[in-house]
Amino acid sequence: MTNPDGPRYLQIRTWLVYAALLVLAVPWYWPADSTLLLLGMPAWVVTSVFVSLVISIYTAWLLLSHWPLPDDPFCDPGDNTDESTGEQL
Amino acid sequence: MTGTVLPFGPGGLAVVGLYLASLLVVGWLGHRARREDSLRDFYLGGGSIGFTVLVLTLYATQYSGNTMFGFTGKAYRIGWTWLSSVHFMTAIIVGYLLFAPWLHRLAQRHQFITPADFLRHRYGNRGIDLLAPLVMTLALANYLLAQLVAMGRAMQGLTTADPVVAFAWGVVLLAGIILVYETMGGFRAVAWTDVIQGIALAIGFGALLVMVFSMWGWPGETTRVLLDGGEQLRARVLPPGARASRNWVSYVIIFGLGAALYPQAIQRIYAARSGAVLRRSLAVMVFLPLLSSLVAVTVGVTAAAHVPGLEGAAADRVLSVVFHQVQASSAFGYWLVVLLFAAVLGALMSTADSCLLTISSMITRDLYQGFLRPDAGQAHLTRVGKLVSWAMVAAAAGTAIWMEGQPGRPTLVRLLDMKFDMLVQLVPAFMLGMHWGRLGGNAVLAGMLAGLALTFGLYGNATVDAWGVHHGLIGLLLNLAVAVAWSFAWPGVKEREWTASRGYEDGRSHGTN
Repeated sequence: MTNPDGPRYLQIRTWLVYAALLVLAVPWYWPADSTLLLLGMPAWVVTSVFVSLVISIYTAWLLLSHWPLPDDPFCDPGDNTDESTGEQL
Repeated sequence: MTGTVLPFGPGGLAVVGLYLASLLVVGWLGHRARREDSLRDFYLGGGSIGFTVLVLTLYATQYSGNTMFGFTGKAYRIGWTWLSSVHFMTAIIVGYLLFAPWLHRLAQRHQFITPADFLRHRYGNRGIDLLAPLVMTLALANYLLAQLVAMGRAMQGLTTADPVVAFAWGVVLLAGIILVYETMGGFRAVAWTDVIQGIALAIGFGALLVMVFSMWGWPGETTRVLLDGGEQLRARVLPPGARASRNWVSYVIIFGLGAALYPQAIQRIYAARSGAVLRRSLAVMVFLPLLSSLVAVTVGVTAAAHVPGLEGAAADRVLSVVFHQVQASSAFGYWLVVLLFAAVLGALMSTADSCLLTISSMITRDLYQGFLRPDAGQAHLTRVGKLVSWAMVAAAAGTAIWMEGQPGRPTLVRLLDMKFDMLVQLVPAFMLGMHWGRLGGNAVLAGMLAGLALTFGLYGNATVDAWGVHHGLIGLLLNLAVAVAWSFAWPGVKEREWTASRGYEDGRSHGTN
C-alpha cells in the first residue's frame, strides 16, 4: 500500500509539469512588436489560451484520477474505491 | 454619466424586482430547512452540500463584481495582457491540490466551522487563534467593500438620478436584501441563492459574448481596429514586456496560493458532502475561467477598440457603457441587457453574501466564543452571528459610500490585490503545516507577523512596484524562511502524531487524531 513518493499532488514531477506549462503560458518569449495573427487574433493570445486549456485538462485529470484519500464510503456509497491504490474499500 | 445609464422601463424593472424577490423567497426556504439552532447548521448548512449546489456556490462566490466590472475594466486599460486573469483563476483550483483533500477529511471528522478551527486543531496556539481570524476578516472586509462599491456603481448605471445618491441607494438596497435572506437562512440561503445567481451569471457571460460579437464583429475586426488605432490602442494587442510578464507570473502564484485560502471557499470545502463531491466540483471549476474570465477579457479588449476614452477608475464602468449601447440598439438588446443586469447583480450579491457570512462566522466563533464567551450556547452564538452581520454591513456600506465621495479612490483590482497580500501570509499555516509535522505554532506565528510587516512596509516602494511582483509574495518568502528556520531550531511538539494523521504514509490509515 505504501507509495514511497507520497501522494501524487505533493510529488515534484507534478509541479515540474505545472512550471513548464506556466513558462509556455506567459508570453515572455514573444518579440515585443509581434503582430503575428492566428484566427484573426494575436498568435500569443491564442497560444496562451490553448496552454490554459491544457492546464485545466491536466488538473481535472489529477483531481479525478489521483485524489489522495478514499472518499467516505458511508457518505457516497456509489464511489468507494481508494483511488490511491485502486482497491475497493 | 449619460453614456452609461440604462433607462429600464417598467418591464425591465419588474424583471429585476422579481429576481431580487426570488432571493428573499429562497432565504425563507433556507430558514424552513434548518435542522437545528447551531453554528454548524447556520454557517455550513450541516456540512451536507451536494455536487450541483457546490459547483454553483463555488462559481458564484469566486466570480464576482471584480470579474464582471474589474476584469473588463482592466482588460480595457491594458488589453490582452489581462489574459493573465484566466491563468490566475485556474491557479486557484491548482492551489487546492496542496491541501483541500486532507482539509475536507479533517473538517468532516472534527466538525470544523471556520478556517481557524483547523488552525486551532493543528497548532493549539492562542497567538494564531487571534491573528489568523483577524487577517482573514480584514482581507474579506476589503473584498466585501469592493462588492458594495460595485453594487453602487451598478445602480449608478441604472438611473438618471444624481450619481452620488444612486450609488448610496444601490449599496443600501442590495446589501439590505442580502442581510435579510442571509439572516433568515444562513449558509443554505447563501448557497441556494448562489444556484440562482450562478446560473444567471453563466447565462450572462454567454449572452455578453454574443452581444459584443454581434455589435462589433469577431475578434479579428477588433484586432484590426486596435492595430491601426495609434500607439496606445496598438499596445493592447502586443505581447507584454518583461515587467508585465513578471506581474503575470506574480498574479498566478499569489492567486494559486492566496485565493485558494479564501475563507469562504475553505468553508465550502468543509460543507461538501463527501470527497467525491468535492473533487468532481473542483474538476468542473477548473474549466470555468475559460468560460468566464476569458469572456470578461474579450469584452474589455473589444470595448477598448470600439468605445475609447475611459481613463483610470472610470474604466471599471466600461461594462455599463457597453450595456447602454446594446440596449439602445434593439428590443432584443434591451431584454438582453435586463438579463445581463440580473447576472451582474448575481455576481455581486453572491460574493458579498458569502464574504459576509464567513466574516460573521469568524468574528462569532473565533473571536467572540474563542476569547470572550467560550461557554456560550449555540443559540446565543447564532444570534450574535446575525448581529455581527448587520453591524458589518452597516460599517462596510458606510465606508463604501464615504469612499465614493473621495478623490483618487482605488480601482476594483487594487482592492483585490491588497486582499491577497494578506491572505497569502496564511500559506505556511495551511499548506505547509498540513504536511510537515515539524512546523510549530510559534514558528507559524512568527512567520506570519514577519511576512505581514514586510508586506505592508513595502507598500509604496518604487523598486518593488517596478519589478511587477506583489508585495505579499515578498512577504511570503520572509514568512516561510522564518517559519522553517524556527521549526528547525524548535520543532513543533505535535510532529509525530500530526504526520501520522495525514493518512498517506500507508495509504490506508486515516488518522489517529
